[in-house]
Amino acid sequence: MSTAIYNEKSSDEMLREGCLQQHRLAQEILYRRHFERLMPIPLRYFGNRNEAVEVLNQAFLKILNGMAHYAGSGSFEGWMASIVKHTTIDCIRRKSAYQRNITLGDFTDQPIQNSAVDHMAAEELLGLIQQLPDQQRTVFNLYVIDGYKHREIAELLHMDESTSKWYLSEARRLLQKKLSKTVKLPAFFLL
Amino acid sequence: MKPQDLHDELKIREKIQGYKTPVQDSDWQKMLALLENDTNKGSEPLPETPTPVPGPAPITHPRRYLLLFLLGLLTIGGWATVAGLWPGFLSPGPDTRSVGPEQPGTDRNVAHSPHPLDSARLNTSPAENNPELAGALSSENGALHSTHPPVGNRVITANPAPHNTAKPETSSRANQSEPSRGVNGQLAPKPYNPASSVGSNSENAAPTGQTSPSAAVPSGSENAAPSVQTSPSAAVPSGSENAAPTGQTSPSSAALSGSENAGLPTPELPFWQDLAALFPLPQVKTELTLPPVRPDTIIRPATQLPRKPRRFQRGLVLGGNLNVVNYETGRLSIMPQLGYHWSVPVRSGYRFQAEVQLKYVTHYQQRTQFFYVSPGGSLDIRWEMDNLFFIEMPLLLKQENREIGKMAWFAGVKPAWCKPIFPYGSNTSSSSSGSGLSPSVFLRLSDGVRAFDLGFVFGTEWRFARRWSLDLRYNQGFLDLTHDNFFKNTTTHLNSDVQVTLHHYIHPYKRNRHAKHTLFPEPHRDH
Repeated sequence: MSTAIYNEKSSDEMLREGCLQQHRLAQEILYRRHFERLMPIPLRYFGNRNEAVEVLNQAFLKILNGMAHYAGSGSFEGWMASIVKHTTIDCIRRKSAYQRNITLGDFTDQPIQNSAVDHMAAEELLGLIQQLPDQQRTVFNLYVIDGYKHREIAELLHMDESTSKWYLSEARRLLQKKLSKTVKLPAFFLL
Repeated sequence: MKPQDLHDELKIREKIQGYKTPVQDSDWQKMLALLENDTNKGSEPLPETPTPVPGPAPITHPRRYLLLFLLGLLTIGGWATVAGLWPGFLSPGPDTRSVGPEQPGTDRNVAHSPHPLDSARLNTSPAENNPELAGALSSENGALHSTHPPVGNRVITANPAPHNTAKPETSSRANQSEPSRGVNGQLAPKPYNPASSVGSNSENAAPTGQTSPSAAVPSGSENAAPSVQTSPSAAVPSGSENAAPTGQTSPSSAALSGSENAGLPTPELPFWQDLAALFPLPQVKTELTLPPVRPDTIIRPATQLPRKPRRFQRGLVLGGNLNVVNYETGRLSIMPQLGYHWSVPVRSGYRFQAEVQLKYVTHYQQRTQFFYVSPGGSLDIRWEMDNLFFIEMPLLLKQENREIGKMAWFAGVKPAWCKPIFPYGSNTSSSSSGSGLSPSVFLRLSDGVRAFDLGFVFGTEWRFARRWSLDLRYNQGFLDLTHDNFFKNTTTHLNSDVQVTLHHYIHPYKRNRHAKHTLFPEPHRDH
């Protein structure tokens, strides 16, 4: 098979076939095409980009090696995203220890309510999330961004449900604090 | 309401999920390196369920170390075998490599252990094998007379110079021909010729049968040519010098060259004896050193363990007391006393001691008189009390004294029971019938003496023997023995005295025990 057939315009299906044949160009095009969509997943779970890239590459290795297991029924990008997400969670689970048991009475669960969110870009919000401590950032991402429930988070991270709630509460409190510190220009600058 | 459905958090979710990160070339390079590594490993597509790869288990670290250890052990064992470090295990007899001619100029006295071959060597002396030669030797040369030392203790030297003298032995069976004689039939001493003696045995093997002193080869083995041939058979203790017509004798044969047992069977040696000759000779013990003779060290009196004092000790008390009967007059009473004592340890270094002592005090000299007059009669009673009998029970806290010659101190209280004994009394009554006057009814002497007393005791004890101690104590009574006016005086009588007693301990120490390591302990003797 000629390498010329794989280019930026090649479809995902062709690239999948090339990846099944261990074609480097097909792998590179597939990697570069879906990197920008998949990279935010580990990026919001880890504090720095290098670590996120390392996790994403491990997830991509699983994707490329397990390309034959893709049934083709669902979204290919969703399938890859789920692999990246599970790989990310596995890495977090190996890395961190969530052993803190918190009683329900120790915290108050208050969602973020701040108008600064409307004026902030996604990169800024991601930076604020990355500044959270590891455990709180993970729980916040799983609960708020990925839509997991506390029970599922507890099963994923091998901790109690109350612990998950406490980490979410702490993450919200810290984020609220950070959002409140964002610079608010005086009114006459907006005129 | 779910928190994630809140408005601001929904905004955050949408913004984060819509965020795109541009790819960099370095990211793909990292991915490419990861792929290359994975390709080199020959990775297969991810299986549904990982199956263990069958095959031999990899060599883990402990196995690797075990293999290295066994390899090292094998190497050391092989080296020790080649170097002959196990002579007792590998060689059938004594070390035959003790002397060799390859070290000229050094004398070695080889002290052979008694060996069966030595007797054979002695039996093969030339005088026995050849009576003529014996006669010649005895008549011609005193040095040639069979006065040579036993073969087993022969001095073997590798220096050829001393062998210019006549060699007494001509015991070679191969040279059983008569020795060369001079004109007068005497043995002709031949100057030493190293050329003929070293490296060749032609003279000895020559059919001339001349037995010349020069036949004493530098190796010390008569007629043994110090050839450098390393034949295993030559190294046997048969001492087969001259046994081979060629006179070939290995250097190691010189070790036992003092024997001339040409006819003895030659045991076969293992092949490593050849290799052993290639290595330097080990240090030879020139003298047999035996440990100094000393008395039997097995059966001997057992060392006795130090005796331990018994926890509960008891014994007799025998002594005397000096009692101040009257403080005003200073009247004293010196009387004996006896008793019994018990003691138990209460804490480290202290014992509680209880005693029961019987004390007899005299010279109280108390007297009283009562005169009763009643209708119908009168009663006159007189009492004299001179002696008191005490039963004292001192309760002491004593500093423990275990070592002989040491002092111990004690103090305590002393309850006592007092009883006047041997009173002297008289009563005179003149009464009519029915008056009821009787001395026993009206008066008892014990009413005038306090029955119970309490005092304080302190003193010291000197343990001068294992079972004996000398006790010196002072008792101070607290209560007046004649507290009332029974004796018509106000004199205070206290049970205060100084006691000097001997305390005898009954079995104060435990039975003597012997050290456990003694094989044959000395029978116990109760001291």
